[in-house]
Amino acid sequence: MNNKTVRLAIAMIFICVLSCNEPRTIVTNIVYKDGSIRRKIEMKSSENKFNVSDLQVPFDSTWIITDSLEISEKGDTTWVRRAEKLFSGTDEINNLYKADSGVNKEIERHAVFIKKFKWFNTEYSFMETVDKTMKYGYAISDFLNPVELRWFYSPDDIITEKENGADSLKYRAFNDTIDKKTEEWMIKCLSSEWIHEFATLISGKSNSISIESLLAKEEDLSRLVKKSGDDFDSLWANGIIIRGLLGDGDAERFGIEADSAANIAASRLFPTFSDYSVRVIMPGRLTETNGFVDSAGKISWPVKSEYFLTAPYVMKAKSRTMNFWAWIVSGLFLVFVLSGVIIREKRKG
Amino acid sequence: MSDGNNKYEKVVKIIRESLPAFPHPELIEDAVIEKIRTKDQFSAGINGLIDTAFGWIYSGWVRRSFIGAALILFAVFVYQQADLLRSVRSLEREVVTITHEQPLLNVRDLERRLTIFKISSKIGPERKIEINESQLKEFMDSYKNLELKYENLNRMIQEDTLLKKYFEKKFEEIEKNKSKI
Repeated sequence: MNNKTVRLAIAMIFICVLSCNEPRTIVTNIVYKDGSIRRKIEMKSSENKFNVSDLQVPFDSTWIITDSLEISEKGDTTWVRRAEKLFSGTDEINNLYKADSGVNKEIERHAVFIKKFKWFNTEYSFMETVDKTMKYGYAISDFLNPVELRWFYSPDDIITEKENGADSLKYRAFNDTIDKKTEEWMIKCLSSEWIHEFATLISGKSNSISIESLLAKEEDLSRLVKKSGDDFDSLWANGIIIRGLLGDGDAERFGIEADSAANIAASRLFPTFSDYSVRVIMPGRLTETNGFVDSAGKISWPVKSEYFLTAPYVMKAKSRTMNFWAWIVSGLFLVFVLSGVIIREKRKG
Repeated sequence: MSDGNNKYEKVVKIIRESLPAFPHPELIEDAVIEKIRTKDQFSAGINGLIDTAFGWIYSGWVRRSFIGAALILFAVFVYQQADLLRSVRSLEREVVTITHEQPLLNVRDLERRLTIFKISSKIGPERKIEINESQLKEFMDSYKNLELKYENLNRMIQEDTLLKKYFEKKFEEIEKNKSKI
């Protein structure tokens, strides 16, 4: 990759990651029994600027929008915009996502609501999914164990709280381990993505390199990327990494394809995305979720780009409500059958 | 007491000996038969109702089906409630305290992002600079160093009242000079 391309890619990543115009956003979905959903978006910003292009979650003029101002004890001003709308179903939410022109417009998101009648209870499921961005990356579960995965998906405030609370040293060490493993995972994903895209780009060309021989070099590429560390940019720009991997001849012949594949892989590894949080309030009693439940029964998930790189990020919650009429009908039926059995026994006697 | 009994027996004896005749004996007969018939009808009605409602107890396959359905219903109820209880208990174990409402960046990440943002915000869109990774790293290190020194200096001024007054005075003078200009 030449210097300009690398810089452009890095600049793009920085723009995605650093843009401070994006408000801190929490989306709350209140799910009702009939499948309708009341969606509330709360955006907080240090400036009174809520440009559509900076928003993580879409909303439009059909929403009820309220603006307010919060001033902390220190005198810091926070501008708060709240938007609220009742949707008749998840289809309407999905249509809104399709028409999104905000900062996260490139990421596919969709919601699903399922209602299952189970006689004594009715089960409600709500899922919001963010589709994966990479095509050939590895699953994070191959690198982290269940406990580490739980930590990886934890909201930042829980991590910070643990790192600063009791056993802080233990938690910091644990976090460092996860950071290292995550870094390794990302390098592997980047290598895999680059190899597959590179193989696609050079396929059909004369003296092309087979995907098998490229895949055999995946470990080498990961090692080179890891080893190069902060100097990766310059080493790639000077063609040192690619020459080390493919040899002088192939590096010279497929230099453009290698740069293009690197751009694609980098854009998939660092998608344009601004973090936010999702909350769900389910009808009835909550029975299952992969989110974080607080004492008030509210479920929340942080939504970060690293969560949906190689697998869709599914935020799901299940709840149940009791069907009292079914309980009464079943009770009467049981009494009826039991009476019949008793009568028969009496008459037999 | 014995006098009373004697009197009663005497009266009964007199009535028996007088042989009283019933003017319409068939009436009482009809009344008794009617009474017995009504009682039988009521009892037959209840029995009929029971037979209608519980007629299935005499049909083997219906009886077995009803008992089977009742058992299945009971088993489903027990299973569903046990499952619900298990799910709720497992969730209760996972309840966490979420103190902050907004997603926060962790300190290290925040520091890195802020630093780079501060640098990037100083570069206008029309201006181009070219620096390599090591220069950027060096720049970031010196920036952090400078920031640390500034913080230390600021703390020293805040803690020392004399120094604070001195600086305030100096700043006022600078402001006065500015306005004169």
